[in-house]
Amino acid sequence: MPGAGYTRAMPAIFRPADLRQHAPGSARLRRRHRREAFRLMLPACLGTGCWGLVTGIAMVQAGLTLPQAIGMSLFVYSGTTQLAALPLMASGASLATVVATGVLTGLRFIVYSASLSRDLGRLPLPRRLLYGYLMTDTGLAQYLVRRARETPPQRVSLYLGYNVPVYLAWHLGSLAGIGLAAALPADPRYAWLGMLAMLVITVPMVSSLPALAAAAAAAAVAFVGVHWPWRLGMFFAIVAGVLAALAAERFAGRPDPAVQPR
Amino acid sequence: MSSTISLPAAEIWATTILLTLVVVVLRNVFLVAPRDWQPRGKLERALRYAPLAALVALLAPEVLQPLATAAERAGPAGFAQGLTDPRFVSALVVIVVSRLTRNALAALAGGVGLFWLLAS
Repeated sequence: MPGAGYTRAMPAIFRPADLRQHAPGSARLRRRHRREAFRLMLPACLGTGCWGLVTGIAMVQAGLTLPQAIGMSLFVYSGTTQLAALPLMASGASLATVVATGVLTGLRFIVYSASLSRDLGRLPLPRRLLYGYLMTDTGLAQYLVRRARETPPQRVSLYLGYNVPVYLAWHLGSLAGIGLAAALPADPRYAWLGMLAMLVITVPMVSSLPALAAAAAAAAVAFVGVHWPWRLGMFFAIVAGVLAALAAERFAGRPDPAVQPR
Repeated sequence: MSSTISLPAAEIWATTILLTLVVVVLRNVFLVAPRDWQPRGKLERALRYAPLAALVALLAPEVLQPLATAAERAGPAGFAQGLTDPRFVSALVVIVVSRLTRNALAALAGGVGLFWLLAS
């Protein structure tokens, strides 16, 4: 019988819809997650909107038609990949080169999916694919800082709470940029506003010795490798940051509270 | 961007579709992989730092670039000049205000306000 294995004691997210609607506690928790996420993600959303605006303008000014620009924004949904692909497409680079660049600029997503796999791995495949698609740098960063306080099923609504607003902000900004491309110059100052917003999210995350070590190592490698091809500097910066954090954890003798296992 | 895209429409759509597939696959590698492949123990703990490292890796070159460019142009004197670059100063303000107040909106408002003031 469908749903026979589910009990009222089970977390709401794993229960069928007919049982879930009788779980006011879970609904309250989801609302709390949405409120908390909105408050925390507001600065990041403003910055993401600015990034989207710049990318939207860049796509149209690179020569994409309106439907092509909207299609790329909606489907690809990765600013770094889009901005890396545009000059290559403009220079007439082969499809293989553009795709290879897309792979290299998106390598960090593999690391992200590995860090999410325990929390989302039990969901049905279509939801895993959808939630994976919604993954963002800033949303995931906030989620990973706060996930340890929640039980595994509640983490799903927490994850959505942090990533859906970023998704919406990105597309609103991007669509605005596409629509206003003819009127607005591709002013690099808009992109800098996005950087400042990202900085606002990042600074509070550096709250322990391992986090400080991760930030310092990642910054050093990213700065040295800024001109490495295919943004490989960024990938190696992540690896260096993670290794430095582990070394600092060993030195400090205890793991960062924000990354305690569940 | 100096030149514009002059590819046939079909090729542009093919590129978009392939890039979409690439991003979807990369974002879901471990979400659709068998559960035995999920990272555990030290690796799992280490991965918690990946987003912080990624954000810093995106930010650091942008924040430090004004200093490096100014130093390249004019040596130590240029470096000192780079310290007054609107991008660098506004980033510094965001970091300081964020640390002191723990208020994200105040930090953002301070950084953005100062940036527009200095850059315009």
